[in-house]
Amino acid sequence: MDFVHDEIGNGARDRDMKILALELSSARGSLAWRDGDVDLARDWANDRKNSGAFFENLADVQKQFGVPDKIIAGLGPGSYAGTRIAISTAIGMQLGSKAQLIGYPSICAIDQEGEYCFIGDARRQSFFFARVRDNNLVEGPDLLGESELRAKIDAEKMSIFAAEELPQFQRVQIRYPSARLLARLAADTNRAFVLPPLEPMYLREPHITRSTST
Amino acid sequence: MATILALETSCDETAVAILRDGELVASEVASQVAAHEKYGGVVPEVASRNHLVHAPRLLEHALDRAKIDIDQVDAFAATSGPGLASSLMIGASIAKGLAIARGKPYLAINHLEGHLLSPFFGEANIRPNVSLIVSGGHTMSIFVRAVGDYEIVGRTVDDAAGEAFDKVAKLLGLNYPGGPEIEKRARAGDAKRFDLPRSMPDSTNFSFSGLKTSVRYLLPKLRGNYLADVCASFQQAVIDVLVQKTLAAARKYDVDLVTISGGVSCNEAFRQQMARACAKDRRELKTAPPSLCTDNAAMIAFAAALQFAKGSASSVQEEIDPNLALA
Repeated sequence: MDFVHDEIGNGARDRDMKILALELSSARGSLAWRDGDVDLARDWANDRKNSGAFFENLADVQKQFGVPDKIIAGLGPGSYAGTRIAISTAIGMQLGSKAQLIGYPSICAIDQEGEYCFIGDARRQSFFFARVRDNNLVEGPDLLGESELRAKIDAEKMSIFAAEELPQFQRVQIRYPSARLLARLAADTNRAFVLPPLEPMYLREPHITRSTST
Repeated sequence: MATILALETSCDETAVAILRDGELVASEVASQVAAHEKYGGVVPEVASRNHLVHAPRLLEHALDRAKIDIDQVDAFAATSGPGLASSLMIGASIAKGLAIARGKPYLAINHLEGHLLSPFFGEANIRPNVSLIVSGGHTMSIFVRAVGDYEIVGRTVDDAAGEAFDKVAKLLGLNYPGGPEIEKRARAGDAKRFDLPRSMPDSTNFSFSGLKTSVRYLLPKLRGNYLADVCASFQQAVIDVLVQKTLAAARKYDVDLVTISGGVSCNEAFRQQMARACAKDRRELKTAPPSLCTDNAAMIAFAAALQFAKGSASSVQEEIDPNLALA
């Protein structure tokens, strides 16, 4: 994934820019609007089959505040379905509003300062491990088996977070990525973001089971 | 009249179309056939990844081709089902994002309704008819009273006709998609050489699984040059069933119009035989142009325009439905 510096704005933070943030990579969906002194965020229980709450909140925020200048979508890693809905909606919103569109790893937008590790279930007996420092992804996400991840966690002194229950790893604390933090990061013009075309942070090639017969 | 922008991402084709005052001013399709060919069928995860890559580019191309700005669009539409969940969500979410940003209506369109209205493309008056939708994902006959007023007459109980074409093509070592491959070889074949079954002759429903199995059991017994004859015999068995059941439905519902749509309706032998059968039965046959037979957004835009003209709109909270029913 290529990270590109956002060149818009001259100051370290552009207070006048209207920013919309969309984050659907975890079981806690959220969206946020940031516009000068206005810093509004909404969150709700999010699941891969129901996006009604997301669109209801989005339509409501749009009606209240109008169109944004910049849209940021959380790219995961996490739920592919949720991340795709956030990115697709952001694509539509961007075209409809002529806003700037950027993406950022969702796991870099949790309520935790300094350095931490983030892990998650990557399905098929594998997990991902990533390290975040000052909201920047500095390591991973890497795919590991359960025993490899356990060894890595045991040797790790940093706080370890996940966006879902992982009872096999006892030190892990639940922390959900947040649209409010994404919006705050998007206002930082010295930060590097992902520019379109946006995609979820895929952890592996598509899993394909080849049929042996028709 | 209105300007409608529609997206279609129900399976493996990414498509965007713009309809302005009933005229198709842009229709962009990014085919994923090459991406799925090596697997012998559509891989949902691959399709979804490709939709997200192709859709923004197609939207730009469509607006350029139509020479309109996004603020001139009156409503945004997308296929909301049936189809692959991970594919449907891309087009529907983009259309909802557009509708929300522009403060314009969103229309959730049934993919099957797009197909069954496609033979009327550009017309405002939809006459009562019996419609056959026949593609890789669907085979069903419908009694159409009016736009939005549909009654399912029969549907496949197992494989869709196009699916049977793909599976038999694979058995014969032919490329994906199998329909055009079989049709090409069938032209030089003897359709009477192999007596393949016509399933469920007394039912309004369809079945093609047994036909496919018959071909599978037949192949090990064959020697020499048989490919064209198997293709012709298989194709004829499918056509016989489609024609016979569609005309039986037209007689039952006493309509003078039969329509066919979907990818399999591009098959030239099928079109000719259906046309002859309809003429013999003193019924009119309406077909969609080939460009509207495979998955496309123009038919979604047309269905949306008819709904929009009736004053219909969908809530942006309306979920996609991979099993969305037509009636």
